[in-house]
Amino acid sequence: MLRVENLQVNYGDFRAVSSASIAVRKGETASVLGTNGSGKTSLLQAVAGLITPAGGRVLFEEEEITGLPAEQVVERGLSLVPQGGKCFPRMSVYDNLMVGSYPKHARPHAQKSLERVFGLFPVLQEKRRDPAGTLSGGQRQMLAIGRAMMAAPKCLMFDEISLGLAPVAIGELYACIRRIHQEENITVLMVEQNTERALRISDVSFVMRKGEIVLSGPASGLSSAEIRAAYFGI
Amino acid sequence: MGFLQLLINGLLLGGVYALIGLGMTLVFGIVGLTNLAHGELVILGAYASTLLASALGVDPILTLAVTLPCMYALGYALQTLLINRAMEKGNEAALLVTFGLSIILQDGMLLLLSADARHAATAYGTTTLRAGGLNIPLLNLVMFGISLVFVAGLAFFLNRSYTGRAIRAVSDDRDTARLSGINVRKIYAVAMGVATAGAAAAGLCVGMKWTFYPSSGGQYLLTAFLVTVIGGMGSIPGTLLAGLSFGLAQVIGGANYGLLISYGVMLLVLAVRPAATSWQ
Repeated sequence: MLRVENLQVNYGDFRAVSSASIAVRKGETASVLGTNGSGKTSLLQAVAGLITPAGGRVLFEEEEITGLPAEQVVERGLSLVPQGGKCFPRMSVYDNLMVGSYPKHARPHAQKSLERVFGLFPVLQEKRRDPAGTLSGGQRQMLAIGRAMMAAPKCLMFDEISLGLAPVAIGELYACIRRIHQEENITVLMVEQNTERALRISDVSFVMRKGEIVLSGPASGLSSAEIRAAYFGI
Repeated sequence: MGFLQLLINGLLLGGVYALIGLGMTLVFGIVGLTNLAHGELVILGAYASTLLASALGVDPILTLAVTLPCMYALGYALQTLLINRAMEKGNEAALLVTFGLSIILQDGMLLLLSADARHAATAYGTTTLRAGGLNIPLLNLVMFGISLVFVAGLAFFLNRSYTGRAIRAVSDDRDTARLSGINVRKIYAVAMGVATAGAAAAGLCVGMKWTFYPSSGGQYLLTAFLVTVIGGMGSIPGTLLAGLSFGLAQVIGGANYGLLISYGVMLLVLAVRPAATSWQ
């Protein structure tokens, strides 16, 4: 469903991703693991169209989407939930969610999508009139996931959703990702530093170090020693 | 009674000032750009309404049916074809483009329409309503109504439509807006279109109330700038309140002290609350 071939991302003279290739099949949950600065976020942002890759290809459902702007990537059914629970703080929770259904293909299903999001995250329904800026970190992350779901995606990408959150909140979010994947049949690609949690829900995993994929395979087949060695380069 | 009369005069006039400032604050809050051509766009709106009303022999207000969509299209095209491209080089380049645009518009109007003073005459321009010992100029009341309708319509559009929500989202966080499927450059064009349509409505009021020339844009740019700063560069109620306070200052201070009071308020606002916020 999603195939990334030899992707390169540069920031000026600095090469953040030197050659990354991953493939995620329809209905899979995949994770990209790695330390800070390994190039995971740059990889996702390049796939999502937030930054233009310096080389390589991105294919989604056999269509090349390399370098397409983010809004066109979303229209094709590929949505990114950014790091840090990014939302529109001055807008209400309801308006934040409705912004998610801005793409034309999502508008006819907006009401149904809204009900699904409220079903997944009842706290968002309780706080639907509150400004998003007043939500806690975990609730903001839920809102960011809900907003991405409003676009009726076929594949959801999560950029370190556990970053800076309490363990209880992380557990809730992971349970929701599992539900989204199972009930909505949405393909999931997540970037994580928390290897244990990510591996537990992944079908396939990739380990990134210094801008390259250094290990990949079925999550159940990767030993912790292998991952540790690839993760830290030891 | 004298104070109440001043208050009413000031508030009614303030509605027009709010309308003049609305377009500038909208563009500043969403596009992040100070549109130095805003004053000329107001005057272009005034000319359009005055000439159209005269040619068709109708009340100038009815010309809004033509000028609003035309000026929206003009603003949309300017942003798409000119300003968005300049913004790729940075906001300074875009600022210079709007400066150049103001000169082209002013000289273009001078060339095509002469330097003669113009005025959009109405049948009720000198009519005064009397109620409870108060004199209320009908024209001021009509202009206040136009301002309120435009402001309320804009608030409704921003709060209830997909595009309105997208405009507010872009103003809050552009990258997150893009990840929600919003084409930011298109939203900039819509915002500029709405702001230019606002300039058309403001221009109609200017044309009905005062005489104007091709070179009058500068004074309305200053008015818009003042209202934008006092209003906090980011809210409909703020812009409305700023416009009303500017109107009051003009009436209370008169020709000698009106501007002095207004600029004093602006300096005070800049000193107390210097940080601009985004459009909401």
